[in-house]
Amino acid sequence: MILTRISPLCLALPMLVLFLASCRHDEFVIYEEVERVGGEPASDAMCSGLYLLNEGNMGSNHSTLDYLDLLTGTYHRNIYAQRNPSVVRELGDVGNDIQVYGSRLWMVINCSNKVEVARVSDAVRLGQVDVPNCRYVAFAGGYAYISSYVGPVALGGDVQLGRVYKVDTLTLQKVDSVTVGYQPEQMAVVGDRLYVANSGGYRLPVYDNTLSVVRLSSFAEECRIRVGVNLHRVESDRYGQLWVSSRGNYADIPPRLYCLAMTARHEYAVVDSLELSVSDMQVTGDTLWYFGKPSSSAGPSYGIIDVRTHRAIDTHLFDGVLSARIAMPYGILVDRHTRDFYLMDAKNYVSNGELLHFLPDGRLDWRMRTGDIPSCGVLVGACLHDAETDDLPQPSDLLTVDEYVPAPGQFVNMMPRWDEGDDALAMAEKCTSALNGGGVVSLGGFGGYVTFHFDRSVTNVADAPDFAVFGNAHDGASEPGIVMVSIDTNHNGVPDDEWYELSGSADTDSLGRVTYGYEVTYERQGDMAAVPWTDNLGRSGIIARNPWHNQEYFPQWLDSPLRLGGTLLPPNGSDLSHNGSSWVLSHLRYGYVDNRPNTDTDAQRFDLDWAVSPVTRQPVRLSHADFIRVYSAQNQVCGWLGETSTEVTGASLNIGRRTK
Amino acid sequence: MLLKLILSVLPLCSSVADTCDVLSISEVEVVQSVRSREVVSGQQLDGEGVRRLGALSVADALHHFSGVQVKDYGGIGGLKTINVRSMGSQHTGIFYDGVELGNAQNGQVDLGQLSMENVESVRVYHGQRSALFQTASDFGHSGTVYLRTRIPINNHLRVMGQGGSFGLMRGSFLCERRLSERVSSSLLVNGTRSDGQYPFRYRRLNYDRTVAYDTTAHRHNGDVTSFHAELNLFGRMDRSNWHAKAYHYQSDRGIPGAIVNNVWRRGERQSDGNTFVQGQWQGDLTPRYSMRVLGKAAYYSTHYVCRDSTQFMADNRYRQMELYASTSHAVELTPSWSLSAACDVRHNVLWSDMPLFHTARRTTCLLALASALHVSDVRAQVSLMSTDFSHLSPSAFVCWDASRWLSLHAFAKQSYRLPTFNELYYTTIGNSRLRPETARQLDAGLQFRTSSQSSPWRLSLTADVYRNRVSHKIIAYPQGQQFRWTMLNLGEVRVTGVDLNAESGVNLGQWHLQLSPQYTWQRAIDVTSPADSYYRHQIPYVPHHSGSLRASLAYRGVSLLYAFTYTGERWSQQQNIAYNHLQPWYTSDLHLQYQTPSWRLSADVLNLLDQQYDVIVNYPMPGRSFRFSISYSL
Repeated sequence: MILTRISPLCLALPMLVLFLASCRHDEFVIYEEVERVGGEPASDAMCSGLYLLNEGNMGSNHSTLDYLDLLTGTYHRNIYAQRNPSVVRELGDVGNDIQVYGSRLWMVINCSNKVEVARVSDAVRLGQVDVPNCRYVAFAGGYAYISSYVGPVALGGDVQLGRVYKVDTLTLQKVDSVTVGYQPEQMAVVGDRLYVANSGGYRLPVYDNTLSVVRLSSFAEECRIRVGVNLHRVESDRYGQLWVSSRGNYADIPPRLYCLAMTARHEYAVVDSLELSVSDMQVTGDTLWYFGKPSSSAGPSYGIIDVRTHRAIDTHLFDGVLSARIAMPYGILVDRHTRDFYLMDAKNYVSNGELLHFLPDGRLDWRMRTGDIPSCGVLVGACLHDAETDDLPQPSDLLTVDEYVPAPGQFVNMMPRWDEGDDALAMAEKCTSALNGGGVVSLGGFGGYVTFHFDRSVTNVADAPDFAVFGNAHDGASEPGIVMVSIDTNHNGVPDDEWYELSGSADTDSLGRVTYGYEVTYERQGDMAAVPWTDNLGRSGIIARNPWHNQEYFPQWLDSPLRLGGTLLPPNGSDLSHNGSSWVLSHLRYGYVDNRPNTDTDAQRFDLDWAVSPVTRQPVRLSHADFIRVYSAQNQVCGWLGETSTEVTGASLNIGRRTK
Repeated sequence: MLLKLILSVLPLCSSVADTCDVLSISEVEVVQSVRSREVVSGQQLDGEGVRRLGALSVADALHHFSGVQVKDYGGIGGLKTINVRSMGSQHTGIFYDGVELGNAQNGQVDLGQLSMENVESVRVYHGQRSALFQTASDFGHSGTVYLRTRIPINNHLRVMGQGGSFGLMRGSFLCERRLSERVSSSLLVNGTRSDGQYPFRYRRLNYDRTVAYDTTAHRHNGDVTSFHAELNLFGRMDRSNWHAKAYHYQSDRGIPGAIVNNVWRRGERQSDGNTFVQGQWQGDLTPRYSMRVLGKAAYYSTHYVCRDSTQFMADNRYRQMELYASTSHAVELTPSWSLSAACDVRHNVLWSDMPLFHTARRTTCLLALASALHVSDVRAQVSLMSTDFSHLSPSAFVCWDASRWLSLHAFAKQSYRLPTFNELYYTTIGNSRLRPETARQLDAGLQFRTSSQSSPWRLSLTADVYRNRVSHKIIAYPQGQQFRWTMLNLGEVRVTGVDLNAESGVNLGQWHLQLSPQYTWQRAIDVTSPADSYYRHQIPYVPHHSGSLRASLAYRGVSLLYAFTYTGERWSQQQNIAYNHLQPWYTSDLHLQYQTPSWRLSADVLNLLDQQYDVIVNYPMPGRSFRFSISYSL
C-alpha cells in the first residue's frame, strides 16, 4: 500500500508549492496609467487640460481622479493616489462634484464626508473640509458653498433638513452654515443670492419641490420657491435666468426642466417648463446642453436649448448610431470656446466608464477608458481666466460704459437688470460690470445703443484691425449691430463729439437696400403692455410681449417718447419652414457686431479705416478714437423669436489671441 | 450488503463521506433499501469535528469543503453566506433536519446565525443529494448543505462556557433525555455576545518601498448579542419515526459597514427574530412503500435601523412568513429499481413598513419524480422537478464501482432559481418581470479509498471536474437616473473547475494522526457580452485557487489540531484590474483540547500569523484571536 502512503503527500505537495508561489505581498500605491487619446491635439486650445472625477460604486472606495492633458493629447488615469501617496485610503468613496476656484481644485467626495482641496496645477492635496454627506460646491466672493444632506431634523418630521456650509477658500475653515430644504443638491449664484435645488430624495415618495434662496451677505435663507418635485441641477445663464431640473417621482410625475426669471417684483418665478429629463446640463453662452433618460425603458435623449427662446436648437448632439453604443450617459462638459464637448459614459456602474470627445459638429473624435462611473469634469488652463471665475482680474482692456440707451425689447430691464431707483448712470455702471465680467448687454430693437471707452484711445494701425467687439451670435442667429466711433475733440471726457460710422459690408453688398438716416420713435405704454413704434417712413408696429420674459420691455429709466436713429440694415431673417417655426437670421459679410460667432475671431475685429460720415457716407481718416458706440441696426420681428436685437458681450484692444 | 455507519475511529472524523457502496445515513434512521441510497456521496464533517475546529457557526466549518466559497463580512456578527461552485449563494439550499431554511426576501441564509452546538453532521452536495426519498426542494438546487441535529442516545447534560478576544462570551446548555422507550428529547439554549472591536491595519508602500501610509484602527459597531433556543422531540415506532422541532433565534447586531477614506465607523443596526416549528413523519407502510409528510411554519422579523446622520436615516421593519408542506413517496418496484414522487407547497409573505412597499406574496409548488436503478456495480438515478408546473429541472446521476477501491461517478443537472422578493419588489429597484436564473451543471469524478478494516491506515481520495453555466443571471443594472437600479436577467457565467479532496489517517496504538487536504481550482468567467470590458474575466470574489488543510494529532484525551485555509487572489468587481484586485489570504488556526469523561477544556488560536486581510473588499477581518472554553457533561 505504498500508494496510500504517498497519495496525501502527492496532493499536499502541489498545494504547498502553490501557496508559497501565490503568497501575499506588500501592497503598493496604484500609480497612474497614461494613454494617448488619438485625435488631433488642438493647437489653439484655450484650455490646457480637463480633470475628470470618477464616482466609484458606493462602498468601494473607488473614487479616482483622471486628467486629460490637452496640450499633449494624453490621458492620465488615476492620478490622485500617486500624487498624494500618504493619504490613507486614497481619494475616497463616491466623488460627486469637481470645481476649480482660482488655483485650487475642489472635489466633493460624498460618502467620505469630505471636500478635498488640491492644487489645480498638479492635483497635490492642500487639505480637506469635513462636511457630512456633501453633494455639490459653488463659489462666490472668496467663499465656497457646499450643500449637505445633513442638517437639523424638522419639527414633527423624522427626516433631516439639508444645510449649506460656507467655507473660506483660503483657510478651508467652515465659517457659517444655513439650513435649507430637504436633501439639497446643486446650487447657483446670481448676484448676492445662492439658489439651492432641494431634492427630498430621502423622503420618498414625498419629495421636496423647492428652490431655497439664500442671501449671501446675511447668509440666511430668504424664502423657498416652489418649482417641481425632486429638484437636482440648477444653473444660471447670462440673462439672469435660472434653469432647474426636476427628476420627477419616478412614477406618475415625469421629469421636467424649469426656467425661472426675475419678475417685476424682483423675485424669481417659474416662467416656463419643458418636458425634458435632464440628468446633467451645462449652460454656455446662449445655449444649454443636456442629456437625460426620460424613463427606464426609453433610451437617453440629448439636446441643446437656446436659453433666449427656450426652444431646442438640436436634439441630436451626435450620430444616432453612436448613441446606441453609449450605455449610460452620466456627465456632459462643453468647452465654451471651441464648442467641443465631452460625454461621460458610466457603463454598468461597476466597471470602467468611458470619456468621449466630440468635435463641435458632433463627430466623435476619440473615446477613452476612465475610472468607475465618470461623473463630472472641469476644464482648466487659460480658458478659466475669462469667464469661469468672476473675481479674477481681466488681463487687459477694462472698458467703461458711458451711456446705455437701449430700444425697447424682451431682454431690456433684464440684461442688465433694472432695479427700482436705478437711473441712467446706475444702468451704465451695471453695463460696465457686465461687459467686464462675462455678462451680456442687450440693445433692444432698432437704434438702441451702448457707448463705452477703454482706459486708452484706440490707435489706428495702418492696414490692420484696431479693436474687437464681441456679441453672442451663432450660425443662423445673427443680430448685426453697427459700430460708431468718436474722438474726444473737446477733451471733456464725455462722448458729446462728432460720431463716425464704421461702414460694413451691407453698404457695398446690398446697394439700395440700406436705409440711411432712419429714425424710430417708441412710446411707453406701461403696465406690461407691448411697446408701439413709428418711423420716419410713416410705418408703425409694436415690440410684442412673449410669455418667457415678464418684465417691462420699455427701458424704465428713460423718458418716453424715445427717439433713436441711424442706418437701417436690410432684414436678414427668413422663415425656412414657412409656418413660423424655423427662423434663420443670416449673417452679413463683415463689419458688424453680433454678426458671427465669437469663435470666428476675424469677424469680431473692426478697423478705424472703415469710418465714414454718417450723413455724407464719405470716408474719414481717423488717427485714433476715444469712444465706441454700438447700436442695433435691424427693425424686424421674426415670429416667436421676437424683435432682432444686438447683444454686446465685451470688447478688447488686445485683438491678438483673446476671444471671448 | 454491508451496513457501515460513519463512526469515526479517530477523534476527528472524516470529511469525505461514505463511498458509493455504503449506505448513507438518512435523516433519522438507516433503511437498507435502494430507495434511500445515494448514488454520489457528498462531503461530510461531523459535529464533533467541526466543534474542534473552534467553529462557532456553520460558516466556520464550510471553509473545509471543496468547491465552496464563504463570503464573510468580518467578525462574529458579520454576514456569512456560501457560494457553491461559483453559481451564486442563492443557488445553494440549506437544509436543517430535512427542511429547507429559506429567506424569500433576499435568498441568502446567514450561516453565522446557525449554531454548531447540537449539530451532528454537516454535509455538502454538489448538484443535489442523489437520494430518492426526499422532498421536492431537495431536487431543486445546484448545491446543498445539510445540517442534522443529534439524536439523543442517553440522558445527557452539557454546560459550556466560552470566552475570548473581542469581548466574546458564550454560554450554552444542552439537555438530552429519553422520555420513554420510543421518545427522546433535546433542549438547547445558548447565548453569545461580542463587542466585535478588533484592530485592523491598512498599509501601502511607494515603489521605492518607503511607507506611503500605515494605519491601524479599531472596527466599530461590530457588536452582536444573540440568543438561540431549540427543542427537539424524536419518536420511533416499529416501522416509522417522527421528529418535531421548535426553534427560536434572536439577535441584535451592529452592521460595521465598509471602511473607506475618512469613514471609520457607521451607525447601522439590525435585529433579527427567527422562529419556526417543523415536524415530519416517515414510515414504511409496506416493505416496499415508504411515505413521508413534513410541515413547517416560520416567522422571521428583521428590524433595520440607521441612525447615522451622515447616511440615509432609516427605521424599517420587515416581516416574513413561510408555510411549507411536503410529502414524499417511494416505491421499490424490484429490489434494484425504485420510483419516487414528491410534492412541496410553499407560501411566502413579506411585509414591510418601507414607503411604497406593497406586501409581497408567492406560492410555489414543486413536483419531483425520480427513479433509481442498481444493476450490479452501477447505480443510476434520474429525476425531474418542476417549479410551478413550468420550469423543469432534470438531473441524472450515475456511479460505477470499478473495483473495491475505485468508483467513478458523473452527473448532469439543470436547475432554476426563482427571483427573490427583493429582486422582484424592492421599492426602488425591483422588476416584477424577472425570469428565474438557470444553472446547468456537468460533473465527472472518481473516488479512491482503502477499505481495509484491519489496516491502521485509512485513505480516501476524491477528484471531480465540472463545468457549470449560469444563464439569465439576475444582476442589478443601472436604470439611467442616478442611484436607481433595476434587476435584469442579463448575466451569463461559465465555470470550469476541479475539486480535489483527500482524507487520510493512521492509528498507532494510542496515537491517532489525521491529515485532510482539500483543493479547488475554478475558472468562473463572465461571458455576457464581448462588448463588456470584463468579458471573459473571472467573476467577483471567486479565486482561481483555494484550499484547506486539517492535520490533527490525538493521544488519549489530548488532541491538537492545525487548520489552514487558503483563498487565492480575487477581484472585487467584474473587471480584473489592479484597482479591484484582492490579495490572497491564508490563515492558520490551532486548537488544543483536553478531555476527560465529564470535563472538556479547549484553547484556540485563530489567525495565528495575524494576517490582515479582507474577504469582502473594505470589510477588514480580525487578526489573531484567542478563545478558551470549558464544558462539563453529566
